[in-house]
Amino acid sequence: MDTNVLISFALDRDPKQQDLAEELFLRARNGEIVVALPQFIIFEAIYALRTFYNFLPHEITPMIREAFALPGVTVIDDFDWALFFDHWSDLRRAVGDAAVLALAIDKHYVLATFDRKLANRARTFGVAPYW
Amino acid sequence: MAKPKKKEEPERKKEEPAFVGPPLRPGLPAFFRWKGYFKVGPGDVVKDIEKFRKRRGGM
Repeated sequence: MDTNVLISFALDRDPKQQDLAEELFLRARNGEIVVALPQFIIFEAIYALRTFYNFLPHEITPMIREAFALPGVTVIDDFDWALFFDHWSDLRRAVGDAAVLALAIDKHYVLATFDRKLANRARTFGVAPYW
Repeated sequence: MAKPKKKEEPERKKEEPAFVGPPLRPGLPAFFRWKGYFKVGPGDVVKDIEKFRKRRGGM
């Protein structure tokens, strides 16, 4: 799961994305899928909510904690750094994109992201988009 | 012999504001109550995590 899924679920910015994210979490809750929540996504979500939306830690913390506790959500700690550096370059500078891509390739995950460009790029490396 | 000075008590942590969050949604795990909870106001420039990533040139 990319950061934009968590952010779009919790923010009131895009109802369509919100519903899609909710459907993904509902499927996880029902045991149909397992949602991998990488550590770097958690940091990125916190950073975005804090820095760009100015929400406070006491508001963000329970939401993240309850995401951890959601049945079907697994926090992923291990990471293939060599693969990450293969996908992070002057041409593709977005650290988050490279990290999500490296993880999806390494673990053979389906990629849930609202970023069309990232989804298309991932597809060229054999990563199937969730949407 | 001079008595050792009492150590100053560490500054007490200011109490954080009480925060309950949105109400639970019946039949769903607690996480689902956050759907759309964080309101984005007109002053919020960054609407997308993608723009945020580009702006930082990373992350």
